[in-house]
Amino acid sequence: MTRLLDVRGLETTFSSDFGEKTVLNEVSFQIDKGEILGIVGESGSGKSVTALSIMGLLAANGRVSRGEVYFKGENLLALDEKALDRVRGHRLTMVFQDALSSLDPVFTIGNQILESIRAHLRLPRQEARQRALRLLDQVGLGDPERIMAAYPHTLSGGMRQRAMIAIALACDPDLLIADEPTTALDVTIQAQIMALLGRLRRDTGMGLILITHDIGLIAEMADRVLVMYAGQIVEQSDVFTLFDQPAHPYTRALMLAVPTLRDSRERRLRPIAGVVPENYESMTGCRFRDRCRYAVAACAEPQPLVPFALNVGERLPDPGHLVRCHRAAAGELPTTCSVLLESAPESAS
Amino acid sequence: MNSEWRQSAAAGFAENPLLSVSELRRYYYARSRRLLARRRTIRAVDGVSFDLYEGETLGLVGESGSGKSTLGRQLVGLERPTAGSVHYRGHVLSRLDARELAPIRTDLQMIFQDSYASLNPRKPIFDILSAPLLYHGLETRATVERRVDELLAMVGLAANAKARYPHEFSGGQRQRLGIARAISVNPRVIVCDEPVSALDVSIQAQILNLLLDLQEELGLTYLFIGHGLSVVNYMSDRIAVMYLGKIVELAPAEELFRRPLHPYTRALIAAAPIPDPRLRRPDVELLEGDISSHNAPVSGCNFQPRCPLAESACRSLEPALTEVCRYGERAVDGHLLACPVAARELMKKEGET
Ligand SMILES: Nc1ncnc2c1ncn2[C@@H]1O[C@H](COP(=O)(O)OP(=O)(O)O)[C@@H](O)[C@H]1O
Ligand SMILES: Nc1ncnc2c1ncn2[C@@H]1O[C@H](COP(=O)(O)OP(=O)(O)O)[C@@H](O)[C@H]1O
Ligand code: SF4
Ligand SMILES: [Mg+2]
Ligand SMILES: [Mg+2]
Repeated sequence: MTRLLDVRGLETTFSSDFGEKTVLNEVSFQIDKGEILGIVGESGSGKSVTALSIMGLLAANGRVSRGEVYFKGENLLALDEKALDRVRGHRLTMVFQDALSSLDPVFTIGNQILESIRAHLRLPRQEARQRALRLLDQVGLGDPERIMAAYPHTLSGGMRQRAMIAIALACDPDLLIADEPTTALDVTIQAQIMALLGRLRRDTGMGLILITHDIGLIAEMADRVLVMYAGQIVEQSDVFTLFDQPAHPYTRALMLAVPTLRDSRERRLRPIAGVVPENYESMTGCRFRDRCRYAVAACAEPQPLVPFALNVGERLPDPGHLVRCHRAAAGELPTTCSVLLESAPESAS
Repeated sequence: MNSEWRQSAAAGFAENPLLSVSELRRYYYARSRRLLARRRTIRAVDGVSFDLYEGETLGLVGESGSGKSTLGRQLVGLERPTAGSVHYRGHVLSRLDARELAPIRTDLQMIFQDSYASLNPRKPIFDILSAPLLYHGLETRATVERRVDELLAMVGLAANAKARYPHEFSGGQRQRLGIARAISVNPRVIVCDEPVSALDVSIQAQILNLLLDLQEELGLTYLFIGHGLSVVNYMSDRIAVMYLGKIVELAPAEELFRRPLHPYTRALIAAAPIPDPRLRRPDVELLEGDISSHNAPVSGCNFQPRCPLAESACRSLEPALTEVCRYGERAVDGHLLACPVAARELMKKEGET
């Protein structure tokens, strides 16, 4: 069966006055119809560049320097701009982090959403309009008639973001790439939008790439997960395995760094020391090693993404569980139980 | 961690409040370019009362636009309220003139979400941090450098930060600078207005823990504003939930999450993602629309247009924030609720058991 999206060995390079830098390495993953793939990581880890590379929307100084992107069997990277446009905005759409820059300021929201519907779905005028109104209502924009007539700059940030989501959904895409779609929105609105996206994948079989820095949203929505750090996938698995058995030290650190509603309030958060390295492109070994509490000398060697093939307790390994850390793969790190223990109240400190 | 304090906070407060807000209102008479907001009165804060006790953290949550920042600004005297008052150590802030306010203003400080905007980009860090110390006469030219070094160390920045400019710092470091400036004048109360909303999660945890450490070390009292419930839960002893300019529920943090009563609080909690895929809820009841599509109604409860429990009385009677009474079981002190319908349902439920 052809996958909905099959990304193989993606590598993206930007050029500048200082030369070239490769900000994305060896990014490979697949999505099937009706599947939700979550991509999680801190800012600067390469999530947006991954999305833009797939869409063919990189900034002028960027190019995909290696790899293939098959969308329903067709290599998008081999298409010319015109052929790509037939796919983009119709079968494959994207919601950007920053709505203002991706909405056209001189057209009303109604113009933009109707254009998308009419160009791709060929619905009669009245039906297209009904569809537009319904979508605006579904993304939580009360009074859709008024929103249709509004220009982007007259809307608040949250309303614009939702209008953009409605536009992206207008022509029933097979795959939606949503790059931090709700980061700027209130939790109540976020929940409405996530419920809508979940419904669409169930009812229409839409695939979804959900990019976020919120591990809670991943738990709530994703079927499979990529954890990215400094331009690489450091862990990849189905969502249950990831939460039961996080293997990579970065994944674990990420989980311990966020407070949850269910926490005992006596738990002290464990921040990850330091920051994401700035010029990680030139690092040869594990890119997390300056911040990793398990780092040893061998971590300076290149780290491939390898299967996590160990039984943990009763649990058999999941063949799709990949990790980019030799120590995790060799079973040298504490098991999940002790990860949970680590999050218990600390006596010292 | 100040667990003893947390217990005493949950058990109710015997002592006098450090700061009291009473019937505070702040209206804006705005003409906005925004849709749905033609010329009108915006009741940003609309009759808010609460007490802040020494050493506690009171969390404040609610959707954006509910009036949290406006309330914070009134609290530290950055703006004058339209009506009502902020009492602090025997003074009513709004009755003081600038000269009288000056010594009190150092006691009440604020940290913002976007600390970059509040740091003068053309001044090196040394100037930014030393100016308030010299202005308020807390240090002299001779002693100020030592104090600046001390402040930088307290917030976890290297001493060589002094010669650098704000733009040279990362988001997390700028937030540390904002905190250093706030604590420099020995405040007793700090309003933290979404201090970590713009930061990456690993950096968020660093800043939150720094705020907790400083609170313990300096005996600070916080009003902690956030829009993420879990962050506010992590930081707070008590939590107030705000909706369209009013506090709709206020309770000790644990109590609020164990037994949320107001339908808006419940909706907020239901909407927060749970970081465990095994606890996915198939269909949670979600609020419809948002705060901007529901301007405050002319009468009755502000939440009524979106409320699943609304009755006809909710359109005319404005609910007051009152202590929750319970049958049987030990009453939890300090659980306040502004919804007679939810209060009645609770009484009924507890009456049956
Ligand atoms: N147009 C560009 N030119 C040069 N570098 C870029 C450009 N866009 C992104 N990058 C770099 O690529 C890396 C990944 O960025 P991005 O994908 O935006 O991260 P994320 O979305 O995970 O926050 C960063 O180091 C960023 O500086
Ligand atoms: N200076 C101002 N002038 C006019 N309206 C304002 C001003 N400050 C805030 N508001 C309005 O008051 C309401 C509450 O705003 P704010 O206190 O910023 O809410 P929050 O911090 O909870 O997001 C909003 O409707 C906002 O647009
Ligand atoms: S390779 Fe080494 S430094 Fe990198 S995550 Fe694994 S243990 Fe840590
Ligand atoms: Mg991004
Ligand atoms: Mg605010």
